[in-house]
Order: sequence, then structure tokens, then C-alpha cells
Amino acid sequence: MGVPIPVASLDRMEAHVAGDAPGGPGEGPALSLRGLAKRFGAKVAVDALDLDVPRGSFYGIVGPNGAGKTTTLSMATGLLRPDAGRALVLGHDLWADPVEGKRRLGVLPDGVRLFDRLTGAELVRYAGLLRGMDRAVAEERSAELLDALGLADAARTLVVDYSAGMTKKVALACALVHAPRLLVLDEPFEAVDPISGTTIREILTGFVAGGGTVVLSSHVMELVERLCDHVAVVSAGRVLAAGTLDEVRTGSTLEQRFVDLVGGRSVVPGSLEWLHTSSASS
Amino acid sequence: MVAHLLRLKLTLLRNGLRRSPWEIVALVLAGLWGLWVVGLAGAGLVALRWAPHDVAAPTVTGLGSLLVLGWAVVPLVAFGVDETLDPARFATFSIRRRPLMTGLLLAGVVGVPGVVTLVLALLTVVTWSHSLPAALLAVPCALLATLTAVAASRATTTAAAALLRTRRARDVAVLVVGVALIGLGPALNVAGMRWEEIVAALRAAAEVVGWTPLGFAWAAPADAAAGAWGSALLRTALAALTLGLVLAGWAAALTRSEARPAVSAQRSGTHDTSGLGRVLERLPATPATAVAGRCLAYWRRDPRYAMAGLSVLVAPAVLVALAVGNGGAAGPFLLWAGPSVAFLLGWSLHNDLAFDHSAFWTHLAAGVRGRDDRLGRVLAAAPWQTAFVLLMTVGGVAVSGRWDLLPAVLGISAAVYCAGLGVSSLASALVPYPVPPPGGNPFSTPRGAGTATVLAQLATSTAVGLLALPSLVPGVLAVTGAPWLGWIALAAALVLGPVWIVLGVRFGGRLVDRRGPELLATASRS
Repeated sequence: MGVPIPVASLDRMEAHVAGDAPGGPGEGPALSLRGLAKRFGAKVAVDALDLDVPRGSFYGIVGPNGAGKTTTLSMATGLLRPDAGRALVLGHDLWADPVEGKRRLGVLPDGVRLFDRLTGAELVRYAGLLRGMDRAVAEERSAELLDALGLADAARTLVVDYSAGMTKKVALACALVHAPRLLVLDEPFEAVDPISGTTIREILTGFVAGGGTVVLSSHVMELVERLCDHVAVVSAGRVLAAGTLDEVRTGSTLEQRFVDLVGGRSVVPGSLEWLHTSSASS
Repeated sequence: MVAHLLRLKLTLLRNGLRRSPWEIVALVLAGLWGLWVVGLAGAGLVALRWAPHDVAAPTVTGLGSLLVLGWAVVPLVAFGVDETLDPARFATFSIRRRPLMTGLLLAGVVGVPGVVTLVLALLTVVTWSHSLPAALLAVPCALLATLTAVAASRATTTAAAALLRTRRARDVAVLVVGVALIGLGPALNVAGMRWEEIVAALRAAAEVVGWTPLGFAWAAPADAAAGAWGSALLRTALAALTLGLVLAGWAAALTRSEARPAVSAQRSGTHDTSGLGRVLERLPATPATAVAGRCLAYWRRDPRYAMAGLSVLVAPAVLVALAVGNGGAAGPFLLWAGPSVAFLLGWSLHNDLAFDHSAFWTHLAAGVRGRDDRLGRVLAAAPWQTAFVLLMTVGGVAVSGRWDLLPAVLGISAAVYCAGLGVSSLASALVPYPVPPPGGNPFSTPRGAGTATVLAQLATSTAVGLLALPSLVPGVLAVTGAPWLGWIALAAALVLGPVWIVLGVRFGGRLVDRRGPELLATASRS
């Protein structure tokens, strides 16, 4: 793509992060959701959802619009209080003991604002400082991340003036700046052009290769199929199928399995005749 | 098509009411307000029937023109225009321009302001009813005036929106209008004028305004009532022409905005840290100083904050106006410049968290302690606000020449400012209410948030007053007669002020820790 991605610099960041303390939560899943539930008024958005994301996996969550993906990920990252259930980040209960979990967690939510009156460099640096990082380290990592994401030229432009793809990338930089062990990304490829998409993909692949875990939601099946090694199909607030990519798609394509599981309907032959110009009468 | 659009508007209104009980409360309050206005102004219009013509004519023409001007200008600055039916949403339906605009225009009358305007305009029929032909002419003129007013609001907002597509232009425009509004502060002097002076001023103004597009429709029946049928018919024709021109202007603005749909904002150059920001850099790197640095950048770059900062100039402006209006007896009024600025500044942070909008998730995801969040916001505001309060306080005392009252006034300022910071730190975590989003019009109120806004503002300002009482009571007594009591006011402020800030930061911080996700949900709403 012509965009050199110094993935090595991200690997180096990994060295900064404190591993799980000895005697702490051991080799369990990176993210474990137990009986998560949320209702909005009469509508049940998430219905006692269980999910385990193994360490080091690249996990895709797919589901139709309104399946509860965003609600689930918000509850898994401490942004939305669940009505019931637990979310364990590397063994730390995020709702009982938020500090430990949040330290190891990087988040990219969908459909929320950023502090967009800051410049890109200021924003990434701010995300680092909020996590108690040293000023010099925050500065250095901010510059490295913006460089890796191809935003170096826009580092001193206000984020409000960024395009959609640039905004996603700077938000990703914010999620990465404290070298988390687990990344939870809600629709990271939404409204992102192919060039930026490639950059984001290479960063994420490098992150997983370096021992990190990525959970992302998407409704683009091809993308999940190409990128992820694990996948969960979510619909109506429940997990319909989960496991490795091959376990879930069982020889078929992910898209076909998805339609089978969710119960999509195809157009009945013979209907919508009038859409064909040959039969147009008026 | 016109009937479809009217029905759509009513359906949308009904669904809005069904969605939330607060919308019903808001509509009931707006309705009561409308009834009150109609009752008051309507009674005046009916009473004018028995007034001499040279009182009735300028009153109706002057106030009517003001009403049309209000429709055209106010939505640009405050409240915004009711966009229940946004023309852009009809862009993909192939509706011909003329029925679409007719429908949108009539639908614009549906609503409290539209109905109030229509009823008041029609009541001028009663005003001119001592002459039957004049009363008959008043009916079409009332309709012309109402439709022109509604069309003008659409035309100006559509045109402004088309002009202000870029963020920088929008920010500048908002500031210019805001400063102009603040400049109107001295115009409050009208309140001190006697009735005869007002009528005289109106008469002079109406003479001119009656021959402008704002006043044609109001002045025509007045002419007819006086028997001047030549100018009456001329003005009626001009009123009809005005409506046509306004509609044409609206159509042109619509075409323009359709041709250039939401282009992305232009690059706005690079941004550097301010002087105060560099001072913050010297403090240890903690989440609290990080929050302070970010808030400081927002005070400079976000027009919503800039407006809050500038609005503190209103209080001194009004005080100066009062002093001037009082014939140079400036002293007693200017003493209060410091305390009033102290109140506005300390209190201005009372909804700071909601200003973050959904960006507050950054704090939540990073696990920032509530105490650091609270402290950072205070740290960003306190240095420059304290300097400003001191300047206004000492300046006010100096101009009034009452140096013996310095401790009293300083005590009141300090007490009110510190109580304001304390209450704000707690309140923005306790009762945040929706505000316009960043980049939104800082003068508008999100739909359905009006009631919550008023309640929260009343409660927080009352709390500030109560906490400042230990300094307010001796301070006011000092000003009214026993200057030595001022030292008690100052001492109480110096002791209690820091206590209020510490308590506010601590308990506000605990609330943020406990209710973070709920606060995020409230802040994101609007």
C-alpha cells in the first residue's frame, strides 16, 4: 500500500506493560462475559449473554443490526452498567474492580464523540496522561502511533476537522497508547476507506502477533473471515454460535452460516416484478 | 401535498409527546407561556381600540415589526428554528418546490410561537374595528404578517446554514452575534424609561419601520383606519410583495443548500499550547493536570465555553448601564461588579461534565478517578477566573471610591466564587442536564431539556447563595452601614471558601466514581 507500518514499534510498547502479577489471575480467557443482560424499557437488548475470548485470539463478533453488539461491548468495557452479569478482563471483574481491568483494556467505541477540539497529537497524549503515564512517554508514544497510522501530517490539526477514517485511526491510537493487553473495538472499519482500513488491519494483526487479544464487532462477513481466527454470531442479544472460525462456519462460508443462523429470508421469486424495466407500465 | 405535510407535522408532535412525559410538561409550559403572552398582549391590542390613533398606530406597527424581526433573527441566535420538518429530509422525494414550501410554511405556523403570532395578528382586527373597512383589511394583513414572519425564520436560518458550513466560519459568527447581544446589555435602560418616552420613541421608530418590509402589513390597516386608503392599499401590496420575496429568498437558499450538501469542514491550521497551558506543563503529570490542560484548550477553542466566559461581561455592562442611567451616581452599583462576576464564573462550571458530551467516555474508559476529573476542571478555570474576579472587585471599589468597603466586597466575591466552584463540582456530577453538542449552537436548548435546564440552574444558584451566606450577611451589613463587619465577611470567605471547594471536589468525585456510566448516558443525550 506504500504506507510503511513500523509494527515493531508497537511490539516494543508491549514491553512497557506490566504483565499480570504473579499469583494473580492466571491463564484464563482474555475477556469473559457471564450472564450479561440489559434491557431498555420493554426491549431486551442483551439477554443473559455468555462469551469467552481466549488470550491471543483475534475475535470477531458479527450480528445483524440491533443484535445488541454495541450494548454488549459497552457493558464489557465499563461504559454501560449491565442489569445483571459480570465482565472479566484478564480475570479482573470490570464492574467490581474497575481499576485493574481498565488498566489492561483498550477501547474504541462506536458512535461517540472524541475530545475533538484537541489536535490529534494532543488527544492521543491526553489518553495516555489520563491513564497516569509519564509526560515524556505519552508524548513519544503519541508521535509513534500517529506516525504508524499515517496521521503524522495531521498531528497538529484539530480532530474535529478529521475525515471519518482519520477519526477512527486517531481513536485507535488512543486505545493503544497505554499498551493494553486486550483491545475491544466496536465497528473499527465503519466508514473507513480501503487505505486506512489496511493500515488499521496491519496494526491489529501486529498487536495480536505480539501477544495481545483483539475483540471487534462488524457486519462485514468477508472482513471478519479474512481477519479473525475466532468468531461469535450474536442475534437478539444472545450468542447463536461461537468458537474458532472453522467451528462456526462448518465448511460453508461465514455469510451463509450467518444467514442460516440468524434466519434471513430471501426474496420470493416472482415478487417485485414491476422493478424490472421490461414490465414497467407507468 | 400541503395537507400531507400538515398531518405529518401533527403526527410527529404527537409521537414526540408519546415518547417522553417531559415533552408533555414542556409543551404544557410552553402553552401556558403562550396563553400568558396572548392574554397580556391581546388585552393590550383590544384596549388600543379606544386609544387615540396616534398611539394605537405606532404601537401596533412598532411592536408588530419587532415581532417579525424576532422571527427572522432570534432563531439564528437562540432556541433555533423548530426543525420537526427539515426540508433536507424531503430532498429524495420528488416533491415539487411550490407545494413543499407551502406545506412547510403552514406547518411552521403549527406550534406555540406560530399560533401566538397568528392570534395576536388577528387581534389587530379588533384594534381597528371602529372602522369596518379597516377591520376587513386587517384580516389579510394579519395573515400576510404571520406568514412573512414564519417564512423569514426559515429563510434566514436556511441561508445562514448554507453560509456557515465550515466550522471556523460558524465559530466566528456565533462569537460575533454573542458579543453583539452582550452589547445590548445597556439597552436594558429602556426599563427605566417612562411610558410617554416609550410611546414617543415608538412613534418615531414606527414612522420609519412602517415603510420597511417588517412593517407594511401592520401599518396598512392603521392607515385604513385613519382614512388614508391610498397608502393603505399601497402598503398591502408591498406586504404581499414582501412575502413573495421572502419565499423566493427561502427557495434560493434551499436550492443552494441542496446543491452543496454538507461538505466537510476545511482544515483550520495548527494549534499550539497557550501560556497558561505551558504553566500547567510544569506541574507534575497527573490525570488531574491532564484534565486541566484539556479543559483549558476547550475554554479557548470551543465557542460554547468562550460564550460562557464572555457572558460574564454582561453583569458589569448592566451595572454600568444602570449607573449611567442613574445620572452618574455610579458608586453603589459598581461595588457589585466583582461579586456578580464571581457568581457567574464560579457557577459557570455547574454543568461542565455535560459539555464533554459523549466524549466523557474517554475518562470512563481510562478509569480516571472522579476526584481527578473534578479537580482538573477547577484547576483549568480557577487561575484566570480568580484574576478576573480580583480585577473586577478592586476595580469596582476603586471607581466607587469606597476603599473602606474593600474587605466586605472582597469577602463576598471570594465566598460566592468558592461556593460556586464547590457547588459546580458537586452539581455537574449530580444533576447534569443536556446541552448543545460541541460545534452546536451554544444558545440553543436541546429538545425536551428546557425544564431540566431551568430546574438545575435554579437549584445550583440557590445553593451557591446559601453557602455564601456567612460572608454575604456581614458583607451586606458592612455595605449598608457598618464597614468593620467587612473583615468578618473576608475572614469567613477565607476559611469557608476552600472548605466548599474541597468538599465539592471530594463528594462530586465520589459521585463520578459511582455513577460514571449513568453520567455518560445523560451527557450523551441531546
